Amino acid sequence: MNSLKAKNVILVVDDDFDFLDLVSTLLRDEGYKVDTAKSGQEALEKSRGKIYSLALIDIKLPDFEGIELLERMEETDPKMRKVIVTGYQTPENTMRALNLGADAYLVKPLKVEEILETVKRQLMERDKDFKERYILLQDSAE
Amino acid sequence: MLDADLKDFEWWKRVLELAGVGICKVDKNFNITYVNTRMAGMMGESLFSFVPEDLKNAMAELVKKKARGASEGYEFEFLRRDGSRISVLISSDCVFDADGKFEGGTFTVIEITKQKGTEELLRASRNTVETILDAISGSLRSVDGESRIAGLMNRIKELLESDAIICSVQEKQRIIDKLSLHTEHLKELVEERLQELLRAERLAAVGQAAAMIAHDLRNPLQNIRLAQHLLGKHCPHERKLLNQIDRNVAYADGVVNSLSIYSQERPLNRQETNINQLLRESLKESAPPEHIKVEEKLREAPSIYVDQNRMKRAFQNLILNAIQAMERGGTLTLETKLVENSVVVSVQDTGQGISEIKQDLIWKPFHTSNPKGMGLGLSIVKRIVELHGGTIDVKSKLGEGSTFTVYMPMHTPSATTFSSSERQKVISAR
Repeated sequence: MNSLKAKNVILVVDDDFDFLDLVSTLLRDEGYKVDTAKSGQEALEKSRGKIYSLALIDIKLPDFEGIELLERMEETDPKMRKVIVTGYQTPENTMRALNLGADAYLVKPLKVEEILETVKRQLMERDKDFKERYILLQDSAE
Repeated sequence: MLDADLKDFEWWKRVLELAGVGICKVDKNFNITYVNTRMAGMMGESLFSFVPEDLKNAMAELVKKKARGASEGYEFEFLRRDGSRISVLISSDCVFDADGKFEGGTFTVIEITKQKGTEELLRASRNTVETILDAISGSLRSVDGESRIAGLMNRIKELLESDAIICSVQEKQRIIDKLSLHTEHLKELVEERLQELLRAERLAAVGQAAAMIAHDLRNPLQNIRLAQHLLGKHCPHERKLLNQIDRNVAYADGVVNSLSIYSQERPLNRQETNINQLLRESLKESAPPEHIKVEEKLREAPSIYVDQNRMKRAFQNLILNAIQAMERGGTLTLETKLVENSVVVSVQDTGQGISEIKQDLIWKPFHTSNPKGMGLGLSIVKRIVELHGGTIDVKSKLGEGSTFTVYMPMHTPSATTFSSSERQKVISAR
């Protein structure tokens, strides 16, 4: 797990500065590497220059909807795990987010354990995905 | 009958006098040569006297028709000498000479004044109804409230008072009285619908506000929770304060969830459900304190299709309410039974009870007797039950306790909102 923490960078996208600060402190304390973005545009720019394993994305962003960000990020980095973390929950939003590639939809206020558990599971899933693909690649190369 | 009778002139005369129809005989100039008693009575004249001129004209008219080969009787109305009107049906047996000239004839006259009157009345009633219907259909197109109805009724009254409707004064009064009755009823109906609409609008507004508040409070609650956690790491000795923050965040989270559930309008996710099992789970999660004795009278019931999360929420709210009502202890009784096409679930407590005046108020959002509560509990229950097509009622007596009874229809399943794989992806189940 520790190696998983060290090699993965998490991007948190939210316009709530306190949340950005608190959640990145929490994750860093747990040994993760964390970047933050306060807007959709900033998130896109950051994701173009760096590979993130996981993004925690708010649905309401100042420049565009988090759901739109999901779509754009799917283009820039399809392998990134994407989790919506938001205070806004409607069935339409949830369905749309999941259809547009979100791997989970979490509603605030989450317990700290729930956040950590989700992050851990998503990173493990991504790792598993990579390993499976690597085996497939090796198989086809042979 | 004897043959001799048929040859007896007096016998024939008696028969003619007895006949229920008027009979008269005329010569070629329409001079009466014979009238029977019935005929004379119809004319209002004494026997063998004057026959009104217009009756003679009517007979002449009939003779002309006969000459042309028509065989039908002839309806005719004339004035008696006393001024009253009489309607009759005349038939004739005419004698014509070789040139076709009228030589004389026998006429039978049947009085049809009464039938005529009935027909007239029917026509007038039809006319009344049609005129009223015309007026109503004209006005109904623009009925938008009480004033319109009043206007409509006034229009009908005007019509009744005018000559457009032919009927007696008593009849008109009868119609007006009936209309007034219907007007009152209609006004009440409109008022009732208006109130319903206002209630629905108010609820929708409350729902929107609730959704907004819930959304806006979730972010700061998340931050408090994170800050509390991080604080705990730096100052682990402040356990008591940290727990207090934790407890209060959890409470606020509960409030936010109530608001959110109250304002939720998403479709039900119905699943086949054993209602007794759901009730037991709700009871377990409500964790009744020790001073409350729990009695289960759960009878076998067929599975029903309900949104389990929401129904559980409804049952929990009822159970928690019952527990709250029995602060000094008591018995909580959960009962299920089958009544006709419904599964009936009741939650009974032996607590303080609800006064009759308050029994209507308890379903309203933000009404509460608990100073710490939001007053959404029972309105959420009612809403959830009604979304499922069920009903809920309460029977309560002050000092004796309350029984909330939910009647759930045994529905067939409807389409679910999420497929199971999609549901798994939604980690947060709230």
